[in-house]
Amino acid sequence: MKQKTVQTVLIAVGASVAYVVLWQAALLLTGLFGWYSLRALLALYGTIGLFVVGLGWVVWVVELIGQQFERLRHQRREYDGAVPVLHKPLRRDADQQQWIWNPLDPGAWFYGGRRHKRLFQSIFALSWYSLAFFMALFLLTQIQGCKEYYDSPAGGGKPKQVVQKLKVKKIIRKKFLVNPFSPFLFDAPDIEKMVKFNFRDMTKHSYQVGQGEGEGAGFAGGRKGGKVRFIRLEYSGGDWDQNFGIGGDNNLLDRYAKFTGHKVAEKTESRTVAQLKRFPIGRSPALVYMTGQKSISLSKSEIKILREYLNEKHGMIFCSNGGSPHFHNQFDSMMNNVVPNAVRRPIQLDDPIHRGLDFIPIVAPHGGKQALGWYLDGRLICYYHPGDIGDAWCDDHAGVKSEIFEASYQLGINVIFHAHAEYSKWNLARKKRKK
Amino acid sequence: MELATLRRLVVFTLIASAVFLSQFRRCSAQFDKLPNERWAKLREVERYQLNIAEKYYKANNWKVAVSEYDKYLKLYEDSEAAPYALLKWSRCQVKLRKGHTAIKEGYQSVIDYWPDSPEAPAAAYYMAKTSNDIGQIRSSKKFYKQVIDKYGKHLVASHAMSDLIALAVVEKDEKTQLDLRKKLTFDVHRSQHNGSICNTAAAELATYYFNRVAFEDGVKARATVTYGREFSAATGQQRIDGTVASVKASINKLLANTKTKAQGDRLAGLAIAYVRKQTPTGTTEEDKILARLHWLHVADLTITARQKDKVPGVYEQMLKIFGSDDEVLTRLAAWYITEKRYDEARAAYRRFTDKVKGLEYVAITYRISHQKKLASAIDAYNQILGLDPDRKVHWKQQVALTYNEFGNYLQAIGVYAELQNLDIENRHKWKGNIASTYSVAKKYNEAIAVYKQLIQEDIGGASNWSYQVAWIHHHRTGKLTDAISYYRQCINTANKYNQIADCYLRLKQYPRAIQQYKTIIGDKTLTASAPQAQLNIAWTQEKAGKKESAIKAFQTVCKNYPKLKQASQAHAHLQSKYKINVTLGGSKDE
Repeated sequence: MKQKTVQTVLIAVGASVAYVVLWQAALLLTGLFGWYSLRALLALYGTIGLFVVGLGWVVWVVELIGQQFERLRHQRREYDGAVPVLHKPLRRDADQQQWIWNPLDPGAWFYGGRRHKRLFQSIFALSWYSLAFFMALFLLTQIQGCKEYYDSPAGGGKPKQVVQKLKVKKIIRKKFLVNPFSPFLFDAPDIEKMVKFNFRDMTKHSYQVGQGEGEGAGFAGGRKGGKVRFIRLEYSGGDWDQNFGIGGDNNLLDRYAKFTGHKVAEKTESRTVAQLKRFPIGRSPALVYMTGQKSISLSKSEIKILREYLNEKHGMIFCSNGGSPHFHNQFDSMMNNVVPNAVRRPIQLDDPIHRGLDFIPIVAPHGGKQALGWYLDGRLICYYHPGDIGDAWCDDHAGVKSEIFEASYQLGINVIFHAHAEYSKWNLARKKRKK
Repeated sequence: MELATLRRLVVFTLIASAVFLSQFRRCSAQFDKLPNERWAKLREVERYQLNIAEKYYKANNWKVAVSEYDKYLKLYEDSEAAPYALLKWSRCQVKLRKGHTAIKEGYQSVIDYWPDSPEAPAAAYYMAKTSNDIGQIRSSKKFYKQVIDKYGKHLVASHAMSDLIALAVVEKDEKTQLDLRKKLTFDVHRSQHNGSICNTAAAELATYYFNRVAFEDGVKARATVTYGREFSAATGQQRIDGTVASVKASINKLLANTKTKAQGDRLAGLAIAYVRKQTPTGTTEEDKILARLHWLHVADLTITARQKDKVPGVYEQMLKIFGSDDEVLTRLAAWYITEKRYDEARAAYRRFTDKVKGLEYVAITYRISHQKKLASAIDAYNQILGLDPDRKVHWKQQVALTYNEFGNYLQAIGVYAELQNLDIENRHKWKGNIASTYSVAKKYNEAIAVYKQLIQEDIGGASNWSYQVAWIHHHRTGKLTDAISYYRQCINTANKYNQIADCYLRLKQYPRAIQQYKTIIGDKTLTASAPQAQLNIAWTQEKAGKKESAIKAFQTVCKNYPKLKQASQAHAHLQSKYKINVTLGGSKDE
C-alpha cells in the first residue's frame, strides 16, 4: 500500500514536471513558428494550469503534514473516543501548555475555535499560496535577466534618398557634322591625368547610405557585427502582433537591407515593455514599433521604462494604427502618460523623415489622415502613422496600388533610418563627452 | 438641462466662436495685407500677376497660389511687392504642410534679401511660429526672442510674447510667464491689433496676483485692461466689474483646498472691503445706480466666499436701501435654490413687483425642484392666467407641458384640445402635440388616428405627419409593412431610405433593404450618405449570410471611399472577422 502511494506520488511529480517542460516547449515552438496569437493563449492558459497544479501540491503537502501532526498528538495524549482531537480545547496544547504557532499544524491557535479549523487552514494555505504565486509571477516578469545589446551596423554615409526612383529619359545623341580638317580638337587630354583628385576617398560617404564616417554603409556610432533589427513592442490589452514576422514586417526589413546595404537581422523580433529595460544606455534599440487596433494597457513600471527608453536611452517609437479610432485615442493617451512634456505636432510633408515622398501613404484612415509626431526638445521621439502602414508591407500589400505600398515601404525605411542615424549621432556625442 | 439653458448655451458658443474667428482673422490679416500705398507703387503687369496669386490665396487653393507667387517672384524680382510675394509664398507652403521649406526658402530669404522691408518683422515672427508648429520648440523660442529683441516696438513683438507665454505654460516656466505678462500688461502700447493679446496677459497677470493674495498688484494689472473697439482705458465701474470677475475665480480656487482656505477668506475680505470702499455715497441718480451695482458685487463676493449666513442679510440690506428690486430678488432666490431652500426661494419670487414673472418662477420651482408639486405649479399658472389674460395661449401651453412632465397625459391632451380652439392659426401644431402626447402615453392607436387626421387636414405638413405614423409603426407597434408604406409617403431623404431599409432588415427581406441603400448611392442629391449606405450594404449581406458578397461590399467601401471613416471600419472588419488582408483602398495624404 505504502509502495503504491510512493509510486502515485512519483507519477504526480513526473506529470507536474512534464507539464512545465511541455508548456515551455510549446511556447518556444509557437514563438519560433511565428504563431503569436496561439503563443499568447498558451501563455495565459498555461499560467492558469500551473497555478492549479501548484495548488494541488500545496493541498496535498498541507494535508499530509496536518495528518502527521494529528497522529503525533494522538500518540502523546489520550483520545477519549467521543470527542475528536480537534474539537477539544485547542487554543493551547494541553500537554505542553504553550501556544502552537506552526501554520502547518491544524491545531495552531490562530485557526480559531474548535470547529472549522481545517477550513481556516485551507483558506490560510490558499491565500498564502495565491500571494506567493502572483508575487513570483510579478518578480519573474520584472526580472531583467541577462543584459541584452542592440548594436547598429558600423560604417558611415549620408542620409541621401534611400529609394532610387527610376525615370526613363529620352537621350538625344548629338551628332557633329564638321569637316575633319577643321581646327577642332577632338582628342581632348585626359583631365584625370592632368589633375589628380582622389574622388573615391573624397566622395566615399556620399554614395552610401548611413551616418558619419566609417568603412562601408552603416552608422558611425554603430559597432562591428551590429545589425539593424526591427523590434516591436508587446503590450497587454491589444493585438500587438498584427502582420508580425514572415510575410509581414519582415518584408520591410528585407527592403531596408536592399536599399541601404546595411546589415539587418534575419527576422523581425518582439520584446515586452519590461524587456526594454535590459538594454543598457548606448546599446539599446534605436527604434521600437507598435501597432494594434484594440486597447493599450501599461502598468506604472512599464510607463517608467518607456519614459526612460525615450528620454535617457534616446529611443524612438514608430506606431501604426492597425484598425480603429479607439487605438488612436489609446496611443495618444499612452504618450501623454509616458512623455507629458513632449509636444504633439503634425509631421510636415517636407520633413527630412519624408525624404523622397510626395505624399503620406494611407491604407485605411483609422486615426485621421495626418502623420503625427511627438517632439521632445526638438527631437522626434515618436512617429505615428494613422493609416495602417503595416498592412502595406505584407505580401499582398492589402490590395492597395503599387504607388501606395511602395511609398509605404519607403516611409518605413525612412523612419528606421532616421531613428538609427539620430541614435548614432547621439551615441557619438555621448562617447565624446565621456572621453 | 433645460431647453432654454441649452439654447442659451448654443447661442453663447456661436457668439464666442464668431468673436474668436474675427480675432483670428484680424490677427492673420494684419501681417498678410499689402497696404494700398504699396499697391499703388506697382506697375500694371505686377499688379495683375499679384492679383491672380491673391485670388487663389483667398480661395485657399494653396498649390496654385504657390505657383502664382513663384511666377511673380521670377518675373518681378525687384518690384516693391517681391518680399510680400515671398512672404505669401511661404504662408502657402505652411498651408501645404511644408513648414521646413517655408522657413528655409521663404521667411529666411525675406529677412536676408529684404531686411528693411515691412515684411521682414512678419517673416521673423512667422519663422518662429512655424518652427513651433513643426515641433522645433528650441529654435522657435530662439526665433521668438530674436523677434522681441529686434522688433520690440512692432506689432509682431506682442504676438511673439503671447506665443512664448503659451510655451512657458506647457513647460511650467512661471518666471518667463510672469516677466512676459508684466511686459505685455505695463510696457506694450495697445492698438487695435494687439489689444486683445495685452488684455489677456493683463487678466492672467491679475489672476496670478490674486491667487497669491497680492490684491493690490492684481487690481493694478486688471486696471490696464482696455475696452471697446477703440481699446480705450477702463472706466471706474468697468475696472471694478473686471476685478470682481477675476477675483471670484481666485477665491473659489483658494477655498477649494483646505490648505489655502485661510488665504481664500483673506482675499474675499480684501475684495469686499475694496468694493465697499469704492461704493459711491452720493444721492444723485447716477450714484445710486453705481452704488446698486457695487452692492450686487458685494453680494456676489459674499456668495463666492461661502459666507452663507451673511448672504440673505446683504440682499435684504440692498432691498432696504434701494427699495423693491426684482433683479435683487431673482439673485436672492437663485442663491436659495442653489442651497436647496426652495420655500425661501419661492417666498422671494412672490415678493416680485412683476407679479406674473414672480409667479412664473414660482411655478418653475415646483416643476424643477426635488419636491415636485403638480397642484402647486398648476395653481401658480392659474393665478398667472388671471393676471395676464392676453398671453393665455402661452400660459396654457405651460400648463400642458407641466401635466406632461408629471405624466398626467390625459389632462395635458385636454389642455392641448383647448388650445386648438383658442389658437386657430396653430391648430395643426396643437393637434400634433395631442398625438405626440398619446404616443408618449403609449396609446399608439389614438396617436396614429390623430396623425392620420392631420395628414388629411394639413397638406403642407403631410410628409412630417406620415413620418410620425411610420415611426410609431416601426419603433413602437412593430407593424413594419405599415411603417414602410407610410415612410414611402415622406419626402426623399437618406433617413427615409435608411428607416425603410431597417424595416426590411427586421422583416429579414435583405435584398429589399439593399435596394434602399442602393437608392441612396444612386441619388445624386444624397452623395454625403452614400459611403454609409455602401457600408450598410456590406453589413446587410453579412446578416443575410452571403459571405462572398459581404466581403466584396466591404472592399468596395475601402476602394471607393478610401479617405473616409467607413473605409477604416470596413478595413478593420475585413481583417478581424474574415482574416482578409486584401481590403483594396489606399489613399494619399498630400
